[in-house]
Amino acid sequence: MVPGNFREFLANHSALIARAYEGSGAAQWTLPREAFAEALCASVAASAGDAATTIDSLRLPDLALAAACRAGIAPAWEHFILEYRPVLYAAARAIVREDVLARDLADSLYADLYGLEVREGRRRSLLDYFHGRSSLATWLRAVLAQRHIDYLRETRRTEPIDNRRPEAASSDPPDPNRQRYVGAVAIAVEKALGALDARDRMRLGYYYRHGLKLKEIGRLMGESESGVSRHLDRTRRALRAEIERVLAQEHRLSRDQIRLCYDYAAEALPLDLARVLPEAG
Amino acid sequence: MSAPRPDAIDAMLKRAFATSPESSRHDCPDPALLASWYERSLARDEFSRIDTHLADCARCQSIVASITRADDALAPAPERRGWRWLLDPRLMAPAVAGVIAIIAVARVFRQPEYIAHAPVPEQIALSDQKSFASLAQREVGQKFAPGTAAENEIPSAMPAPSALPATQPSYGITAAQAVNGQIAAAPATSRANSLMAMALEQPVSTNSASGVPGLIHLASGMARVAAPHSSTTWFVGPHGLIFRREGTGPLRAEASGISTDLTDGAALSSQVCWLIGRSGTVLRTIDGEHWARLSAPTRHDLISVQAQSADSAIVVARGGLRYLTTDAGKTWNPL
Repeated sequence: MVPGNFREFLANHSALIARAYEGSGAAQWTLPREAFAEALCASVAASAGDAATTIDSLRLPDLALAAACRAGIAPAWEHFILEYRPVLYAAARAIVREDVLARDLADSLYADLYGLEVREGRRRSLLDYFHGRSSLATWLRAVLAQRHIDYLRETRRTEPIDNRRPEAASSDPPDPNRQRYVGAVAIAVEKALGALDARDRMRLGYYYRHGLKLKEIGRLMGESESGVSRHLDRTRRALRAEIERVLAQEHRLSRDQIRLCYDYAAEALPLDLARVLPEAG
Repeated sequence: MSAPRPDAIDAMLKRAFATSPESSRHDCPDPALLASWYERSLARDEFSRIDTHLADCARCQSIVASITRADDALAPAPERRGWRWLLDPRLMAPAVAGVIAIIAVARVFRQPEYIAHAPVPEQIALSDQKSFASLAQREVGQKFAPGTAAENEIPSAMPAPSALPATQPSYGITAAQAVNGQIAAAPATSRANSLMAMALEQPVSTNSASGVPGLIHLASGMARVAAPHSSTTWFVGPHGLIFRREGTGPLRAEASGISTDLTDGAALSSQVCWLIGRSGTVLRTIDGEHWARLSAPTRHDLISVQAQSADSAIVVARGGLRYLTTDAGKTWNPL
């Protein structure tokens, strides 16, 4: 928040601010108008739209509650804990899938939400980053998920190499062509995946990497469950046709050899999707 | 010559996605943007930008995947279909116990002296502690040291009804409480609703383990809707239950006219309030007492409502689709 901008915001949008204050229920928390206006100003600054459109689209009651909690108003905190603690626990349980860890994860958020760190005479609260562009509940879930996923990624990064991806030892005699087939199919998959539409790749990611159900993917992508199923099926068929075309035409492999390629790839495909999937601009 | 197995591509993709390191970007959107993307509340350009980012960023995909899983965890469990599960022996015993408990409560409530002999406390024998856990906690709350009861759980030290002295109130409502106005149920309200009303008024407990103030124990599934600039609060919940309370006054049941579960609401004043529920249910009052069911914007469950005026509101359906009405629910337009 730049104080100069805030003064300008106050001067230019006093009517909008007053209307938003009335509609937000901020008064029930005895949140001062200026503190609420400051939260509005931060929301407008974080949005690409103009002030009027942005303010109209905000979850004003949630924004007022967050601002009141940030300001340390006790009834607001009580209400927050009453309303959102079950939401946090349920979300944490869904993310971590283990009760004790879930409670730890959810409880770890409170100190940051309250803002124990004081800078320039002001508590820095995680709620500073809530701008009312979504519901407070969804934002809390996103914060919780981000915290957990970053923790997992950090843990994986520091995990000894020896502990990663133990490959099952095979007792079969090695096929001398195995390495060549696996290499060929990796190249074919890379090409086929890279040529897919972004939303098709996203659907595959949700399904194969994150193990989401069709219904959940549908919710994320704004599609029906059957629509997701159809899209996935179509994408798989397209991938398969492209992979087999590359294997047959570019690597001169027969149907039997292609079948072996699939079998070997399902066991150990040396595919780095981070490289396959292009970084979007 | 044999063709590849039909599931070969499936197995290969599973392997590829499971073993590939997760890609991530340095310009990942913050949780606020991802939450807004999830709720479809971003402008078109911004939405597309996040959509494109998500296609190739496994970290952000993980975050939105977690959000949707958590959303599912809060959603009511889907109804079981068919009837064979009724024969499951694991369900039979609790079902029979539940029926016996309901009959016992109903018989006690039918006794005319139940209300008449105030202030002599009446006893209600409840065989099923769990069904009335919240109520029991109010009734015998003083018997437990604050902070020992885990949130939303029945205190482990809760005595069985039969263990309480016969002259002491058990887990029921006393006539004194009824006549003193702790419940002021409307004539049409059943006593089962009164039990719910009592369960709403739980003392604040403290979770000493975490040092965080505990929750006020609301009856399961009840949501609180507070009106700004007034002391009016509505409690709404399963089967169309609506209770209204002024300040710390008694709870008064209001007729919703529906049996659909209500999930949330938004009040503008003590007169104007919008409520939402399952299957696109929207109710509105403009006098604070009488509720009218409005046309449903969608058949999906509604999860959030933002009231703008007596005629205008935005509702959010599960899945994030938003609908706006500006004519008191006569028409709804997707946003």
